[in-house]
Amino acid sequence: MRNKISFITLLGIVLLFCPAIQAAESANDVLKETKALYKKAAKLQGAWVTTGKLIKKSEAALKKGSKAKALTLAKKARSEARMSIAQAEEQARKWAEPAYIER
Amino acid sequence: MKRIFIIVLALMTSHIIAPIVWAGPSEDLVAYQKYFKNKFPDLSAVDLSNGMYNFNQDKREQWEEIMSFPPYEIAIDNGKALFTTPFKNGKTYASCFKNGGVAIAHTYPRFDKKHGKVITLAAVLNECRVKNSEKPLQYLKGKLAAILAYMADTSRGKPISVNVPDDPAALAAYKDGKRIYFTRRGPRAFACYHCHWEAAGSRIRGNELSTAVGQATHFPTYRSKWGGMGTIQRRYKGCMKNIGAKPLKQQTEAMNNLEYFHTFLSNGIPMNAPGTRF
Repeated sequence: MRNKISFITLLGIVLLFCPAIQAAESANDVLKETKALYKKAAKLQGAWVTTGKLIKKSEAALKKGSKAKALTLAKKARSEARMSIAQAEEQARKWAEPAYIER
Repeated sequence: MKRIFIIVLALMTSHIIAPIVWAGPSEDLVAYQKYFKNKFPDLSAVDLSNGMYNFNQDKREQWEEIMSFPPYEIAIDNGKALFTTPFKNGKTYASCFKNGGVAIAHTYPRFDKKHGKVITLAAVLNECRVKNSEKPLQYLKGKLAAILAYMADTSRGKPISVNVPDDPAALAAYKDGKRIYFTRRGPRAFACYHCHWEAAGSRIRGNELSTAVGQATHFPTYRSKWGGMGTIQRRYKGCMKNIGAKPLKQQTEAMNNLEYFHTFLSNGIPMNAPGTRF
């Protein structure tokens, strides 16, 4: 019983501090969140081409096992997706024809 | 005295409110076309349909050379053959259009009252195919673009006449197209008007930017870059990609509304399609 508890504790510590496992989980989570954000941006007609490319690159890196790279790319994509949503929402309220049009 | 005060107040209020209230598509058209007339006083309305070739003599000469044997002629011939070849049921495309489809292209896109939305000529062609038990053609290029080239050629010289009827749904579609046109998109926060209004006549890298008014007159067009014909929505998608925005899908309500607004900008300018561009 004591051995079992020791093993589980040890496993927990390993999992907690193993950067590779941590990165893999995080990259997947970030990618999942980013994809949802990207979909929302597209629905608002405001998605950016570069975000889609970053998502693909991140997925490719993940497949190759470059977990840290995948995470960096996914985070960049998430940041872009958030900015594109903010832009689309702002433009929905603020779009206007150019001020130099004379009426 | 009280009456005079009310009249003066009403006049003052109308003066303040008038510029804020949207006047309507016809007032838009006057204001928008006036902008380009003032910006390029030496260019006639017909000149505007020549796009970027108004702004670079060297390219203009190359384009005129190309136009002595226009690369779109094959598409017109192919389009005519496709248009006149009967479907399996014996009917042709002509059965789906007024005037047999001849000299009508300059009136599209149209607002379809029955469905309460904008319809493009490309969509009507595919609807016609489906109605006659044929599979729809691929949008943007290929056979459909060839048929559009033939139909546009029968409208060549006729002024673009896109109508926005006094119908709430039609006005909403027009406004939506206008919104899309003037909305900043992509990481560079560009809207269509940034390139084709204030920067028209200037250069982006090696290309001169054409004026928004006149652009719709020469579609479908043969682009050397494409190595073939393409529809106006194909060009929109390219433009959107250029500014880093994920392109809207072809033949969606948004894309059709954009085409509606954008083509309306060229009302009164003679159709010069199909055209040729680098």
